[in-house]
Amino acid sequence: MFAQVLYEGLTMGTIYALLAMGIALVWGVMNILSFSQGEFMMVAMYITFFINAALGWDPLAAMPIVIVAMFLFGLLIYRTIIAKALKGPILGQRLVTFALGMVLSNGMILIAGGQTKSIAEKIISGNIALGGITISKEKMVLVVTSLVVTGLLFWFMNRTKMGKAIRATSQDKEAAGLVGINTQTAYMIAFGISAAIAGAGGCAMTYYYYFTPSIGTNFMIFGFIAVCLGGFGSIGGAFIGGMIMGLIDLFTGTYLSVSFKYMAVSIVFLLIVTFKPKGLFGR
Amino acid sequence: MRLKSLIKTEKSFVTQVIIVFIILALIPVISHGEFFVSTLCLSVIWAIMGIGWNVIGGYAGQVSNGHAMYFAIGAYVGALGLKWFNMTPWVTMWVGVIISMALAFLIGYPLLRLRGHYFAIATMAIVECVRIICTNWDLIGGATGVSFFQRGANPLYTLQFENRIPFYFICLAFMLVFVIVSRVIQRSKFGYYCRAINANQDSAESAGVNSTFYKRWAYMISAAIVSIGGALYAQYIQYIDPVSLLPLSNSMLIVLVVVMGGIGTIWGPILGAFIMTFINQYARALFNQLSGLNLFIYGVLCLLIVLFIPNGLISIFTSGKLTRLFKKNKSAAKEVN
Amino acid sequence: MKKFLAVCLSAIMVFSLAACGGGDGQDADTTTQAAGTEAAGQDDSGDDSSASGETIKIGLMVSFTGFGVQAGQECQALADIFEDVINNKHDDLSLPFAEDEGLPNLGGAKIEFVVGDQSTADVALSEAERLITEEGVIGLCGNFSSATTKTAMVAAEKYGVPVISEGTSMTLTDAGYQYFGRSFPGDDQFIEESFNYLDYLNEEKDAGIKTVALCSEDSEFGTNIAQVEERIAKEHGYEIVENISYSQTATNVTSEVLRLKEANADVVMMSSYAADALLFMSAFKEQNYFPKMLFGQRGGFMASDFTLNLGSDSDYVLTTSRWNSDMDNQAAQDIAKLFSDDMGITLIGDTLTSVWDGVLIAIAANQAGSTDGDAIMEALHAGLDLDPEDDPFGLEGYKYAEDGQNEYGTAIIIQYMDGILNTIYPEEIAGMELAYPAKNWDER
Repeated sequence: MFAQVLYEGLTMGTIYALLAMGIALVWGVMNILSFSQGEFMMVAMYITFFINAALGWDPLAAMPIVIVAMFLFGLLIYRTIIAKALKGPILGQRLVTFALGMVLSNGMILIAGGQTKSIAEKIISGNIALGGITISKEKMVLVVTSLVVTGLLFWFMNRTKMGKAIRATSQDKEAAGLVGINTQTAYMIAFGISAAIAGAGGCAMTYYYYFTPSIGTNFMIFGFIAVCLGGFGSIGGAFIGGMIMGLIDLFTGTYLSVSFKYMAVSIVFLLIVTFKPKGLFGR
Repeated sequence: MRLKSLIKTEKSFVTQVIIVFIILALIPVISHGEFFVSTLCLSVIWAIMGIGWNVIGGYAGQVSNGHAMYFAIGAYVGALGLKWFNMTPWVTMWVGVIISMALAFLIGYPLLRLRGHYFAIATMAIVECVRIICTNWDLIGGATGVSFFQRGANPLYTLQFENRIPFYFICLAFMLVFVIVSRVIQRSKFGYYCRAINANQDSAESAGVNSTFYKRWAYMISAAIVSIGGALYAQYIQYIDPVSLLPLSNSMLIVLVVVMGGIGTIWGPILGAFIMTFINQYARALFNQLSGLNLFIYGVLCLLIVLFIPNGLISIFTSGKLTRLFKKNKSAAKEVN
Repeated sequence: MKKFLAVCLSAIMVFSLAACGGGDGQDADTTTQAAGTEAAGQDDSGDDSSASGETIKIGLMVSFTGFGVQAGQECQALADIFEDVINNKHDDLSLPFAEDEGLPNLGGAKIEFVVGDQSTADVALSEAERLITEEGVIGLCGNFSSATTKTAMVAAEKYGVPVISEGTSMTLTDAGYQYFGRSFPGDDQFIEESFNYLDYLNEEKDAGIKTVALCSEDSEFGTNIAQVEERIAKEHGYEIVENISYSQTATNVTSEVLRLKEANADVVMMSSYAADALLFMSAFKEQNYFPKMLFGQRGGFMASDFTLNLGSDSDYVLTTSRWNSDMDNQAAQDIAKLFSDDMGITLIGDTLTSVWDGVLIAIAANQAGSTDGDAIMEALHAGLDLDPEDDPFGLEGYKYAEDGQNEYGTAIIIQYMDGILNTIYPEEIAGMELAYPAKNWDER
C-alpha cells in the first residue's frame, strides 16, 4: 500500500509539474500569472480528440502535430493579445489571461458541446503488476511525457541560443536588448513553448482523463501553487513543486482524509511561503 | 466653519455624488421590472465589493485574489444570525465586519509580506481552505448550505423584501457611505501613504512609511467593506452554500469589476460593477439558445475592455476623449444649422 | 464638470436602453396575469391574450456552463420534441395531448419551453426571476439540483409560480414551500429502496452482503445522500466500513480508490456527477479493482456521458433511477424513439423527468383551465387526470401532498450490461437478472 501511494504520488506529481512548468515559463520570462494555462491544456486535449476522431490516429502519433499546433496557437495568442497586454498594467495582464480562459472554455462548449469526451482506442493500455504495485500503462504515458518534456525544456533553455536568449531576457530585459537580443521574439517564443508544453501535456492526458471544456480550471490553482512552491518562476522549481504537491495530495488523501487533501496542499504551501516568502528555491 | 471649507474643497466630489445618486435613485422609478431591479441590486452589491477591494487592490496595490472569503464571512454571519438567533442583519452585518477584520488582521501578518503573484496565489489558497472548511463543517450547514427564507417577518427587520425596490435603496445607501469612505481614504494621509507603497514599496519604506502597518489597515478596511457586501448579498439570495459563495471565479470577478471600471478611482468600481453585471445578466437572457455563448461573449468583452481600455472604462470619461467628442458633435451640429 | 456630466449622460443612455427591456417585462407580466384571470373565468371576450393563438410558456432551467451542459442540451432537445407533440396533432403517438393541437381546455393554447440558466445557485435565482417576470412563465421545471431549487424557490414563492423539481434533498420537502412539487422520490425513498433491494438479495438470492462503503461528492447533492445512506444502512443492519466525501472537481481520485480497495466492502455506494464518476472508473481500472457491487445514486452514473465514454466498461454498475428506456409501455417507447431519432443517443431517466415535470405543469394547467399558479397547485394537490397509457413512467398517478411530494412516485434500480441500461428491480418490470458479484477488470 505504502509503495503504491508513493508511486501514485510521484505520478500525480509529474502531471502537476507538466502544468506548472508552462506557467513557470510565462511567469519567469514575462512576469504574467497565466490563468489560461489549464484551458490551453484543454484545447490540446480537444485537438487530440478531433485528430483521433477524424483520422483515427492514436494520441501518441498525434502528439507532434498537437505540439506544433499548440505552439502556433500560442504564437497567435501572443501576437493578438499578450503583446498588447504587456504594454498595459500588470494586473491587466493577469485578467487578460483569466478572460482568455473563460473565452476558450466556453468557446469549446460552442464548438464541441458539453459532452465528456475520451479516446476510445489506445495503443498502450492495461496494467502491470510489479511486486505489489499496480502500474497503469496509460498513466506511464503521462509520466514519460512529463519527464521527456522536462528534459527537453532544460536542454533548450541551457544549450540552445534561443533558450539562452529567453533566459537573458527574463533576467534583465534592457540589458538583453542592449546585447542584441530581440526581446519581442524571445517573449513570443517563450509563450509559444509554454503553449506547446500544454500541448504535450494535454495530449498525454487524453490517455488517462475524460475531458470536458471545463476541465482546465480544476488544475489551475494547483499549477500556481506548484510554481510558487518551487519559487519565482524557475522551471526546475516548478517540477519539484509539482512533485511535492503530488505526494501531499496522495498521502493525505489516503492516510488522513480525502475531504481535506487539497486543504493540506494549500496549508503546506502557505506555511512554506510564510517562512520563505520567495518559495523553496527562490533567490 | 470647517465643514464649509470642506464642502468648498470637495465641491466637485459632492456634486458628483449628488448627481450619481439622484440618477441611481430615479432609475427604478422610471422602470421597475422585477428582473431589472434585481439586476440593479446585484450591481450595487458588486459595486460595494468593488469599492472594498479597491482599498487594498487599488490604493495600496496589493492584488488580493481571495476576497470571496470576506464576502462569504459576511454572508454566513448574516444568514446564520437570522436563522439561529432571529437576529436582524442590521446587527449581524457588523458582527461579520468584526470577524472579517479580525481574520484579515491575523492572516494579513504573514500574507502581506508576500509580493506580486505570490500574494495573489496565497490569497487564492486561503479561499480554497475556507471553502473546504465550510463544505465540511456541518454546524454551519456544511455542503447543504443555509436556507433562511423568513415568511411573514417584518422586511425591515430581515431585509427580505417582497418587492426589491426598498432593498435596492438600502443597498444604495450603503454604497453612498462607502463611496464617501473611499473618498476620505483617498484624500487622507493614510491613502497617500498607501499610494506611495503602491508606487514603490521600497522607496516608501526608506522615506519612513511603515508599509506593514498601512497595508494591514488597508487590508482590514477592505475586508470589512466586502463583508458588508456579502451580508447584503445573503439577504438578496436567501440561500447560501459554499459552492456558490467561494468559487475562485467570485474572487476574480471582484477584481475584474474594479479593473474594468478603473482601478484606484472612486467611481471606477461602481461603473465596472454596473456594466459587468448588466452585461452578464442580459447576455444570459439574450443568448439562451446556445450553451456557453453568454459567457463566451462576456469573456470576449472583458478581454477587449482590459486590452484596449487598460485604465478602465472611467478613463474614457476622465481622459476627456468623450467630452471632446461631444464638443465636436456640437460644433458639427452648429455647422449644419 | 463637463466630463462628469458626460459620464452621467451616457449612464442614463445605457440605463434607458436596459429599462426598455425592463418595461417589456412589466407588460409581459401583466398580460399573463390577465391571461390567467381570463382563462380562469373561461372568458371568451376575444381578447388576444386568451385567443386560441395564445402561447403558454413554461420555464426550463438547465445549465449553460460547467459540468451540466450536456444534460442541459439533452433537456432542450427533449423539450422541443414535447413542444411538437403537444402543439401539433400526432395520432400515432401515445403521449399527452398528442391527439390535440395545444391544450384543449385552454382554447387550444400552444405551449413553449423557455430556457433559463441554473448553473449556480445565484444564477438560478436571477434566471427564475427573469423567466417569471419577463417571460411570464406559468411554471418552472428543469434539471435542477437541490441547491439551485432552493434559490429558484425564493422567486417562485414570491410570485406564486409552481416549480416541479427533481432536487432530491429532503430539505426541499421540509421547507414548507407552497409552490413546490416533486414527482419522483426524494433521497430517503431512493436509498430506502436501494437497501430494501440489498435485503431482498440477501434473503432471496443468498448474496451475503454485509458491509457497505460510502463514497460521495462533497456538494449538496452527495452530502445529503451520504447522510441518508449512513442512517438507513444502520437501520438495515449493514456495517459501514468506509465513508468518503471527495471534491467533485478533484484532479485525481487515486487515494479515494485506494481506500475503497483497502476497505473492500461488499457494496460501494456512490453519488457523483458525470466527470468525477468517469474519473473514478478510470481510477478503478488503473488500480485493477472493481467493487463486487458498485451502486450509484443517479447523477453521473446514469448520464449519457457515462455509457458513451465507457462502452462496455460500464458493465456491472448499478444505479437507482426513475425511468429506463427498456420500460414496457407504449408511451415510454414512443418518447425514447423520438429522442434517439433526434439526438442519436439513448434517452436517460433524468433528462426525461426534467422535461416531463414541465409537461405535468401543462397537464395541470389544462385540467385547471387556468394558468394561474394557485389553480395549477390546486390541480397538482388534487391529483392529475392523466391517461395511464400516456404516461411513459407508468406511475399509478400524480397526486402531490402538501409538502410537494408526489404520493405515487416510485424508484427503480437499473444495471449496465453490454453498455446498455437494464431494469433489474422491481421484478415485475425487470428486463434482466442482476449480475453479481461483478467481475474484476482482468476477468472480463
